[in-house]
Amino acid sequence: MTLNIKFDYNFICKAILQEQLDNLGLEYTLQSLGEIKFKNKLTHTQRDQLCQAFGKYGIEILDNPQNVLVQRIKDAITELVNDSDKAKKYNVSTYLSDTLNYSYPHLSSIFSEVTHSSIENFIILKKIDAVKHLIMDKNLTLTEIAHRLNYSSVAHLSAQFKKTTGLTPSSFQRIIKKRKEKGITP
Amino acid sequence: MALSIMNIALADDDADDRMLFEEAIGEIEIKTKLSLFSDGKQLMDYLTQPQAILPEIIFLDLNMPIKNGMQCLREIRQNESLLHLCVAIYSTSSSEQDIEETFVNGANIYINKPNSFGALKKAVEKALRLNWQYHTSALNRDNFLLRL
Amino acid sequence: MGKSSKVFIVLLIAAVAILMFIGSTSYRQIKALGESSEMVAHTLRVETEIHRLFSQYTWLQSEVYETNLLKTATIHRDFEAQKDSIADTFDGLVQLTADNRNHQQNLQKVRVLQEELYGILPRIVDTQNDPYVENTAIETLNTTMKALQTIKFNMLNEVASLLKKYKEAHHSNVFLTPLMTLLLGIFALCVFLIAFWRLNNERKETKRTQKFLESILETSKNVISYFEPVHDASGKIIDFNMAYHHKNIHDVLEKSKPPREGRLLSKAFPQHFENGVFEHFVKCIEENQNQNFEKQYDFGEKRFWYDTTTTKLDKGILITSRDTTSERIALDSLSKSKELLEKRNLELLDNRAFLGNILKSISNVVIHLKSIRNDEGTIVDFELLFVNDAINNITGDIPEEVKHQRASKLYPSIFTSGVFEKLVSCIEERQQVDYETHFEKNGNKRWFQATAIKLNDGVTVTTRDITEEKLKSERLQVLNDQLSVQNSIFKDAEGVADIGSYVWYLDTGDASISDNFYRILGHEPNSFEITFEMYRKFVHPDDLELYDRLGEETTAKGSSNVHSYRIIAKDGQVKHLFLNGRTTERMGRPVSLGVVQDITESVLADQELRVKNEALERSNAELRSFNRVASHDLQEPMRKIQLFVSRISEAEQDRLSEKGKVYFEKVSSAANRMQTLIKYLLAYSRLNKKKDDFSKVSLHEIVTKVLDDLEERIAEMGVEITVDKLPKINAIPFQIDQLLGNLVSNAIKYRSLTEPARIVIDCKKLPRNKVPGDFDKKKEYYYRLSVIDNGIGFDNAHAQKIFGLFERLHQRDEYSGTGIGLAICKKIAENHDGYIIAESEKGKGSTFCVYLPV
Repeated sequence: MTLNIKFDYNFICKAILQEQLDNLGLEYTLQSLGEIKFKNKLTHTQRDQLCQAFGKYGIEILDNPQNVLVQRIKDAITELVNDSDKAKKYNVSTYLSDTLNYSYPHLSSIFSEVTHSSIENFIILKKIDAVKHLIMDKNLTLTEIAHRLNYSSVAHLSAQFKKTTGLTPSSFQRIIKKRKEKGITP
Repeated sequence: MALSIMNIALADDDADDRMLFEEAIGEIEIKTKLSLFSDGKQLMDYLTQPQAILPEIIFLDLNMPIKNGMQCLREIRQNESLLHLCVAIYSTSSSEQDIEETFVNGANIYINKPNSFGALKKAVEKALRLNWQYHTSALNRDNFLLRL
Repeated sequence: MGKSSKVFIVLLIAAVAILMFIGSTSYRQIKALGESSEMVAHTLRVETEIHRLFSQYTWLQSEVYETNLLKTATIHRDFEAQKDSIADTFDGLVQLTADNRNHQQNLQKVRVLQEELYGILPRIVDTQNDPYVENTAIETLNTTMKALQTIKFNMLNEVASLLKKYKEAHHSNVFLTPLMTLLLGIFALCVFLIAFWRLNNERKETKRTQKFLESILETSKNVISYFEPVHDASGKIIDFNMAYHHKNIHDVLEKSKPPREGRLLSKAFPQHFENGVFEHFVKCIEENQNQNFEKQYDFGEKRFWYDTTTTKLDKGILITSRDTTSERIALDSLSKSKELLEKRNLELLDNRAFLGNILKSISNVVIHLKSIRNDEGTIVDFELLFVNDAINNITGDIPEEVKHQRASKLYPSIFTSGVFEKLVSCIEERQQVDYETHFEKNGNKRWFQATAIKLNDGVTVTTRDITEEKLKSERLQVLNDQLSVQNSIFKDAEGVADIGSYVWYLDTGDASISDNFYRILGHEPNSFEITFEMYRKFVHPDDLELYDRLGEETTAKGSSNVHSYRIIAKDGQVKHLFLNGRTTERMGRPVSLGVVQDITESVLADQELRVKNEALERSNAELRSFNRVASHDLQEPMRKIQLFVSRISEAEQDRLSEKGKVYFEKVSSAANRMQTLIKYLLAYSRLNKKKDDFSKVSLHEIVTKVLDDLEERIAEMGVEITVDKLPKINAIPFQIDQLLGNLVSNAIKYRSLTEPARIVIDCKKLPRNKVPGDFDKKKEYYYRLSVIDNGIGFDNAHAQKIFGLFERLHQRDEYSGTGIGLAICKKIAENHDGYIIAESEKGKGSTFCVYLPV
């Protein structure tokens, strides 16, 4: 028997974080997914416990402030890509510098330094990921997707998809469909 | 801080290709640890060891004696503990049918063995980076398909 | 009696009227007598009063004179008292004479004079000392008195005349009144005498009538009774008292108790309260309406019918009942016979309708013809008396219209076809005649079978349409002829096609085989008798098992899966036979009919083909393995050469001489070319055609993908591409992809050097006859997929050549190319049962058209 499910990563992550933090009896607030604010300073033992608890779910505590910033950039971009209204309103660079309170060149250099890829590349990757999601799960047409994700044209979307994945949207769709038929999940 | 060390595996029966691949990996900025296998069976034997350090990405040649790449791919995708691994096909074949078939069977990346060393380097680097992105950013790995 | 009584009543009324008149007249006479004596008395009183009034005036006068003479002053009081007395008398007189105008006028004058008098009197009294005044006053008084005296006389005269008149009237009245009374008495007596005489006569008459009536009743059969109602406390009629019934009722009630008069109805005829008779009686009384009813009564064992009429008479009812029993009986039998008659009538109508329906519904024409004879008595013509509707279908005649018309007019052909003679002979010789005839209308000939039967002096002809039968038998004849021709053809055909046929009776194993079957067996036709067992000897020993199975299965199930076996002919030649049989029934016997074919030649050919196929299969397998080798093993070295060259030129760049670098480049390019060639060759050889690969593909999607793939080059070269609306076709997606990819990349490669490159991709649906090219056009319609460019083009003479493998029109240093691309396109088109052609002119662009079946 096969059961198709759909899930929200953000929701799952949040649930796990809350569960683990509550287990340790800590007082906290979740700023965004990548940031937890504690009321009191953590002791070494508490920190180790938390490290261990999160580790089970592949959640890391980022020590390096640069890593933290990169994570925040990624989060901001994710938010921007997923919110088409925001994406239409803001220019990425101003959005990032406004939300994170750093100049865009600074953010850009830190991002490249840490991830060895540019913010622009990451945005494209993120957008293409959203395109894939919309193709597969929402069954939208390319025209609708292009409109939603702020592409100037279907051709532009198609070209970017091809450039990023090496596949056309339709062959991508065909492959994923066949995979589902075969029940293969990589 | 640069990327942490990435474990990579390559299964290819051609010694020249293994050598060139190793050289290309070596010239990439990313810190890697490469394990080489000369056929599919060797690779699978390694992967199915209980204490094996699993590579983050496996490069698989399709044309191999004893156990070919497609068989390996199927086994990986059917193995509970391996199915999350990123599999990159590394083959001479440029037939669309071959490519689609590997993707359908669960390959994430398909790399046509390039004609120049520069292209090889580029391709491998792109594959590694993208895999890293999928690894570190909230991207849906189900949809991870890349053709180079 | 009615007339006399009317006269009598009129007379009586007249008598009463006269009596009344006389009575009133005498009353008036008496009253007038009273009145006249009254008037006399009244007149006498008036006279008295007049005297009194005037005497009072005279008294006044004398009084005044007396006073004047005596000069007494007491006058006044007496005078006033006198005045009042005069006024009373005067007023009384006015009232008394109110009915007499003359008196009234006189009295008016009196009043005036009286005032005058009252005015003078005091003056006389008061002016005692003035003699003049006194004299004038006295004088005036005298005049006045004189006037009064005159009036008095007038009035008395009047009274006297009136009195005279009244007295006369009184006298006449006194005489008339007794006379009138006497007259009245005499007249009244006369009237009564007449009335009595008349009444006496009436009584006698009635008695006589009654006797007469009774005698009638005695003799009448009717029962006549008079019943009086009996009311209950609330006034409702509850019973009748049988006041009278005449004797006849005794006859009726012969055996039951004869009712006595005065008995109650409820006692004598209790059944009247049940059969509604009582209600009729009551209704008659209460609504004063004559009732008439007929009822059946059972008295004793007899049953009677009475028609009863009741009439209200005085308080009761008169009942007249007539015995209608015999009438009833007659009526009953009449209605019974009438019913019977009606039933017979209905039956008759049914029969008629039935007959009519039959005549209407049958397709046979039924005609009745009446003979028309000449003076010598010979039949010369017929008159049509009846024909049914069926005639309409044949001649178009409407039965009603042709009735009473002459046969010579309607069907003149009977006089020439001999039918007329046949009909005449039927009548004259009184025998049924059958004949066949035909009728032609609008060139449509129809045949009829007719039967004529004599009826009265005429003939009834019934005809049946036998055209179909005629045609059928004619057709049968033709078919028979055809069959015999076909049989002979078949015999020849059997020989030509190496076919034999057989008839095999499954119950006995008997069989017969065609001439050619004998020949197949190597024998002369009919050279021996054949049976199933006998034929078995010809069967190849190795196939006997098969043959027996064929026999068993056919006998048991009617068919068999065994269709071929071998036989050995007379000359020892082994022959392969193919047979196809079917089981049926022939004259009640199960039989297998079939055809055998000598397929020896085709079997041998098949065997040869199979060997060839196997060889082909092998060579194909070799080719496939070659492909694999080419794809992998041949490409690998080339790739490695390139890889290592690139590695060296990169890593050892500093150590290489310029020449060395050029050489390496050349090695690399040669290797690259080699690899491309191999790749293309491989692609070409892989272009196979499997049914499974075909699917519905959108040309539009494929073109989009192709343009996606070529996007970089398109953008780089600035090519303008127009794509028309494209359909979905049934094709192998990868191949169409490749085909379009090749054509578009060719168009880009051979673009114009002088003007901006333009490529148009379009598609049109064309019917088969508009499709050029010499290929097997299996489909009705084809799509023409065109790729049109404005590039350098080529000499149209090479239009065919360019699709050949390794054919190139350009030097390698001008345009790179393998000469395989278009060959691939051609093969792909052919794989799709299509066709590709190119058309061009040097320098003016080229058009590649691919025709693909719809």
